[in-house]
Amino acid sequence: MIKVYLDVSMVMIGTSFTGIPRVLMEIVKRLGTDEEFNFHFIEYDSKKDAYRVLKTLDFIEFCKTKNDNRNHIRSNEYISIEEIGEDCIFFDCDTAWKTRVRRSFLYPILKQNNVKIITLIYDIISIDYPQFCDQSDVMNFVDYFGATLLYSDKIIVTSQDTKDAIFYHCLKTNVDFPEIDIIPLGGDFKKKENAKKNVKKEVKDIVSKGKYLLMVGTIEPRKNHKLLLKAYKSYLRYKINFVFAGFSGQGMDDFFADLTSDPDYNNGIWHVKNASDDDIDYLYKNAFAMVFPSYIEGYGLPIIESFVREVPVIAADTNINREIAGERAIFFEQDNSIELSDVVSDLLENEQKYNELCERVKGYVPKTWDDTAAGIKKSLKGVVK
Amino acid sequence: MSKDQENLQVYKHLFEHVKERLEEKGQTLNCDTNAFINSVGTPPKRISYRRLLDAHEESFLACAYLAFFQRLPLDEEVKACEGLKREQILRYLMNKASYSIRRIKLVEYSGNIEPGLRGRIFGFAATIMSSPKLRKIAKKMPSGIQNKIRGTFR
Repeated sequence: MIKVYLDVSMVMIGTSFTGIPRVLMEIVKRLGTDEEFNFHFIEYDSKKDAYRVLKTLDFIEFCKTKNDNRNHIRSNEYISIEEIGEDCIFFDCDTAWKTRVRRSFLYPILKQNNVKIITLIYDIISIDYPQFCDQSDVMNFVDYFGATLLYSDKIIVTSQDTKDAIFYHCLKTNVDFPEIDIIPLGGDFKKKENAKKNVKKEVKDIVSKGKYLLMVGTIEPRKNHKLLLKAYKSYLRYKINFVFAGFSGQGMDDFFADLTSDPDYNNGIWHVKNASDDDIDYLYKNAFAMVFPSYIEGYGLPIIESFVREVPVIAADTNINREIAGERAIFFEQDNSIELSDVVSDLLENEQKYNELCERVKGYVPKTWDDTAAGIKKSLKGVVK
Repeated sequence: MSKDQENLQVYKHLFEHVKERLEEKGQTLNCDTNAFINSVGTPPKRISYRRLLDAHEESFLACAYLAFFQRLPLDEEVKACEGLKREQILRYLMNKASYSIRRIKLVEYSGNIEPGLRGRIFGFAATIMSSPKLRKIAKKMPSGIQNKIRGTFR
C-alpha cells in the first residue's frame, strides 16, 4: 500500500464546495478507500505547529455529505512535518497556497526526507494574468508555484494550455522540465430526481420571460461580464435577454453600478445570486446558449456543463476555450462585443444555423470523475514505482 | 552560486514576471523583490526576527506582513506605519488579531514585545467565530458588513 498525505486544511474550513474543493472531494470519494493506497488526510494546527491527522472514513463521508459539522472528523493524532518520512507521497490538490504552511518552507523538508511530492496545478492565472487577481493571493501563489517547480516530483495539470505555460516558465528559470501529466476534470453530474421542484420561483420567472443568454461563474474581472453588458446595452437589447448566475466577486463595483442602473435590470438582464445547483441546472437547460467571454480560464467547466446539457456555447477565442470546447462551440474574437453581437444575432435570425450548433453538442459524453480519479491513481502510482 | 541562491532565483524570476505583467496592464505591484524574496521559506509559526532583518528598511513592512500574515499591507496599514522603526512596526503587527489567531512566535529576537490586549481579545473571538456555520451566515450578509467583519479580525 502506498501511503499518501493530503493536506485538506482549506476544505476543512471551507463554506462552499465548488471549484477546487469540489475536485478534491470527487477524488477523495473515489480514491479514499482504494486498496492500493493508505490515505492520510491532514490539517495544519497552529497550536501544535503540526498536522492533525483526520479520521479517514469520516473525512470521506464529509466529502459525500458536505456537512457543516466537522469537529468529529478531527482526531487527537498529530504528525510534524519532519515526521512525514520516505516511501510516501505528499499530494497537493487543494488551494494549498492559501494555507499557513507555505510550500517554499514545506517542500524542501519533505524533499530532504525523500518524500515524493505531487502537485496538481489547476492553472497559473496568478502568474500570467496577475492583473485579474488579488495581489496578496498572487504573492502566495508565486511562492507555491516556485516551490512546485523546484521540488515536485510530478505535476498534474488539467489542460495542455497549462502544461505549455509551465514549460515556458521552466525554460525562463532554467529549471529542468518536470514530469507533467494532463488529467482532465470530470464533467458528469449526478442527475437529481425532482430537481425542477426545488428551483426558485425567481429563476422560473426569469426563464419564462423568453430566450436568454446565460453566463455562469463568479462575477469577477477576468470573466469579462462587462463585455456582455456592453453587447446587451449597445446591440442586443430587445433581441435577447441576459442572465448572469454567480457570486459577486471583488473589484466589480463599477460593473454592478452599471448593471443595476440599467432600465431593463431585472426585466431583460438579471443577476442571479446564491443560485442553487438546481437553479443552475434549470437555467442551463432552458438557455438559448451559454456565452463565455472570459479573458482566461483554468479549465472552463461551464463549457462542459453546457455540453452535458446539450446547450450551445458561444465562447471567446482563447487557447483554453478552444482546447476544452473543440469544434463544438462557436467562437468570437476576444473582447469584441460587435463580433459577439453579430454571432448572437445571426443565430437568432438563422434557425438552421442555430440548429446546426445544437446538433454539435448532441450526445456529448464528458470525461467522468471516475476517469479523473483513475488518471490520478495512475499518476500517484507512477511516481513510486 | 549556492543551491539556495539558485533556488531563490526561480522565485525572483516568477516575482519579476508578475511585476512586469502588472506594469504592462498599468498596475503597480505593492511589494518589491527584496520584501518578497525575504519572505520565501518562512515557517508558519516560529518566525525568525533575524531573517526579517535581511529585508531592507523600506521593504521591512511588506516582508513582515508576508511572513506573518501571508498578505500585503492595506493602504491604511502602510499609512499607519509610515516613519515607524522596525521594532515599532513589530509592535503594531503584534497588536493585530491575526497575530494571535495564527499563534505566531517571534524567535531569534532579544526584545520584549508581546501581543497586545486588543489582538488577544479579537484573536480569542475569532477562534470562536471561525466555525463553518457562522462563516456561512457571514457570507450571506451584505458585502459592506462582510468587509467590516474581515477588517476586525485582520
